[in-house]
Amino acid sequence: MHVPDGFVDAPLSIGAGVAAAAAVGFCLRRSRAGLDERTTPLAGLVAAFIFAAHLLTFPVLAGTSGHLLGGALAAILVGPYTGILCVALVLVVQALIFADGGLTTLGVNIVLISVVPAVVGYTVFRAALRLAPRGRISVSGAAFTGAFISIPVAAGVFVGLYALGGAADVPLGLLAGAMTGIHALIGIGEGVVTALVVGTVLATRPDLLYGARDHLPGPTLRIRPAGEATTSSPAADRAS
Amino acid sequence: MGRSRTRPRSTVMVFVAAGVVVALFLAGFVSFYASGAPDGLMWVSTEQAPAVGAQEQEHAFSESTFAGYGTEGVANDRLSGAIAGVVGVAITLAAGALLFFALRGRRSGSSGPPDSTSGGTRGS
Repeated sequence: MHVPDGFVDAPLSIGAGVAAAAAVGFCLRRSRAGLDERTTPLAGLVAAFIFAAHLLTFPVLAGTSGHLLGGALAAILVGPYTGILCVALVLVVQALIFADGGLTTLGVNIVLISVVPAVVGYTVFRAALRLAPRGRISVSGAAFTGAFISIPVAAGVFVGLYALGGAADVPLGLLAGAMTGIHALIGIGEGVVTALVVGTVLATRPDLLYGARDHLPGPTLRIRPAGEATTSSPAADRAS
Repeated sequence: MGRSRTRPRSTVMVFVAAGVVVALFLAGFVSFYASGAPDGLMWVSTEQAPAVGAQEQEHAFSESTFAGYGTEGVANDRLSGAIAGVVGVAITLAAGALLFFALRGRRSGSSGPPDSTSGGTRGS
C-alpha cells in the first residue's frame, strides 16, 4: 500500500507528515518505558523481519498481489508504541534506499502502513483476547482477527485521505469499493501470516509476546510487580 | 536494583539470532519466488481508477543502487534481488538496534522490571 510521490497534493503531504511526526514522537516517548531486556533486542528483529516480509508478495486475485504490512504483528510482538516505530523505520529504509514509497508521501505511508494498522490491529487483538478463553489458540485467533481487520481499515483511511487531498478527481465511492474490497482479501493473508508468526513465538518463547503476557497460564509468563522479590522459586510463583 | 537474571537476556539473543537468520533467508532467497503482480493500491490506481495512477511521479531515488529492490550492475535477477534483500534486512536491523538500544539507554540506566503500563490491562 506504499503511496508513491504525486498521488496526493502538497497540503495533504505536509499535513500527514506532521501527523506522522507527532505519532512517531509520541511513540518514542512511550516506547522507552516498555523497552526492557527482552523487548529491546526483539524490536530490532521485528523491524528486520517486517522488511523481509514486505518482499514476500503473495498473489491475491488475477493480476494483484499483497504482502504483510506488519503493523498489527509488530504491535502484538513488542507493544503498540514500539511496534509503530518498527514499521515506521522499515518505511524510512524503503523510501530512502529502495525508492519504494514516495519521499513526499512518507508521512502518508507512516500513517497508513504503521500507525493505523498497529492501533487498529492491537485494539481489536486485545478486545478479542478479552472475549476469548485463555490459551494459545485464542491468542493466535485474536492475532488473525486484529491483523485481518487492520488492512481494509487502512485502505479506508487511504480513501479518506484521498478525499481530502487526492491529486486527481475520481468518484470516491468507486475508490472506496475497490480499495476496501481488494484489501479485505489482502487482509486475510495479513491475518494468516500474523497468526502463524504469533503461533511460532507462542510455541518457542511465549514470554516474548508483549500483547499476551497477561493472557497465558504458566509461571514463566507471570509479570512480577516491582516490589516483589525476584528470587522466589517457581513453586512459590505457581502457588501465588 | 541490579539485573538479577542474566539467563533471559542471553536466550532472547538466541531467539533474535534465529529470527535474523529466518529474515535473511526470506529476503535473500524466498523473495525470488514472490508475486511480481502490482499490490492492491497499484492495482486499484491503474485498473480501477487510472486517474489516480496517472498522477504518479518518479521517485527521486529511482536511479539509486538498490532502487526497486534490485542491485545496480548485477545482471543475474536472483542475485540482484538477493543482495538487495540481505542489505535491506541488515540496514533495518542495524538501524533498529541503534534506535531501540539508544532509547532504552536514556531510561536513566535502570534495568528494572517491565513497567507497569506495559501489556495492557491485566487479570482479565
